[in-house]
Amino acid sequence: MDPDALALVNLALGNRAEAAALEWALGPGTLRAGSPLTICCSGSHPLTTIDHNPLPPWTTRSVPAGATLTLAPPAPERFAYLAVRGGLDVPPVLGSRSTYLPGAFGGHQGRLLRRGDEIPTGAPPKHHADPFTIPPILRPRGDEPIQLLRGPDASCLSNEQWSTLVDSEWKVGPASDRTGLRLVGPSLPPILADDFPSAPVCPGTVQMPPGGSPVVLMPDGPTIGGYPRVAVVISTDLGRLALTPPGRPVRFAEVDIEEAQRRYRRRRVDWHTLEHLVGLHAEGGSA
Amino acid sequence: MILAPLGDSALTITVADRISPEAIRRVHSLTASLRSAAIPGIQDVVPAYTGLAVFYDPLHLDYSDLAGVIRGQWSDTNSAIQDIPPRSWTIPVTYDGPDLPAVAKATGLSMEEVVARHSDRWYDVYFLGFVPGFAYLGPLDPALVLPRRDTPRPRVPAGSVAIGGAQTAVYPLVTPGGWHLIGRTDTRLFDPASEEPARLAAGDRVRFLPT
Repeated sequence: MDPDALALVNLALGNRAEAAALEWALGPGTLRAGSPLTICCSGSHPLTTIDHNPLPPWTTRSVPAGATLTLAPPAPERFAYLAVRGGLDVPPVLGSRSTYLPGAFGGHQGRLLRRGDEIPTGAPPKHHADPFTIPPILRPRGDEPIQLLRGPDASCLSNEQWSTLVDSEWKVGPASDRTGLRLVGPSLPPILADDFPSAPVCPGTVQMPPGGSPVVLMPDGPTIGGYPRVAVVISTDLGRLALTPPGRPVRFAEVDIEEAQRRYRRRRVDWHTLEHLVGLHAEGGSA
Repeated sequence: MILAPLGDSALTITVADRISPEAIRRVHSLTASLRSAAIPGIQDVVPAYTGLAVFYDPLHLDYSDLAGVIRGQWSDTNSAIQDIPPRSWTIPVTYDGPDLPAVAKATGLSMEEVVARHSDRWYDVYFLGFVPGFAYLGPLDPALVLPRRDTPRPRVPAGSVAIGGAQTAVYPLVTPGGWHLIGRTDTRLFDPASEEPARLAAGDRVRFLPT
């Protein structure tokens, strides 16, 4: 749900940004290291303990074989990530190692993990450094408004309705999952689009069903949708929206395509900077 | 042809306001043409009824450059239309779906006639969407066109053959669904381990064979 947090914990370990890691939404859980591991976790405060010692987030830590990792329920964020050096070695399906629950494929046997599962880890990367801490400037910051672009069907909304969408305070409703986040807030008048032809959508697309409660599509969402696509959350802010705790107000801000794509490139530069820092650290450590 | 950003990593091309055979044909040929052009930075082309989406990497391409290329090379309607020979598939169906009696009642036809009208024609695959391998097929016999069920089912069994509006489809996975279930098939329409995971592709033709 948050590709940026996933990328950061991976890069800190010297992994590729998209290496498979553990995402958890509820907890608690307990893991046992079958062999010596090095791990890194996301979060705004420690969620993981190693044999009862708290592990600060965004910092790599080695775990001896046989040690017990305890995962607390992610809070206040909805999701947290635990990456392992070398990545989780689950087989790629259709070019991805992530789990697609509706189709029961990908990840570990296409399902949620359960008690007794054993997950192998991949070969460690060439360059790595321990301990490595992600500098605070490169960590996610949760206080800015979520940026969105006008969608292909934004003209379905009047100027006033667009302002209501962008300027109001919203909350992520309880009827939200990996397919979509339902936004709860001011009521927008229903859009009568009976003959709206189903059209392409992507993660981040804000759809406006007749009920008037906008839905933001997420990674397990469809490729084609039947409701007007009034806006799209920019890719660098979608993970932050996914992590928003229930009840916390969400504010949006409109951005143009040039700025959205600048942010996308800046994010990649940040990742590259992190790779470089890990590399430098590794060289310094081995000299 | 109207271009618009669909977020920071995709754009949409809309070729028509309304669904028509001509619009669908144009979408398919534009999709094929964009795919074969293999523009560096383009990651995927996704067709729908009246338009398509082009997914791209903003590290390689920015919106205005890509939109310029597309407008320059593909805005000419005629050059974009090329006829692609369709592949044809026959899918065996056991017509014993839980909604068959209700469909017969709502349409005023006998169950046998519903089956006959559903199986007695070739359908075009308009596009795939909703869930992996879900192909939107049509047009349906006008006598079978019904609104969706008032309350969608939370779990439609995989392999269910269904009708909804002027369309028909086979549910490839267990999903929620609001269409009317009239039959089932053992034909597997999505296999992630296969080289071509989705059996059907936009532009194919499909016929159902009662068993």
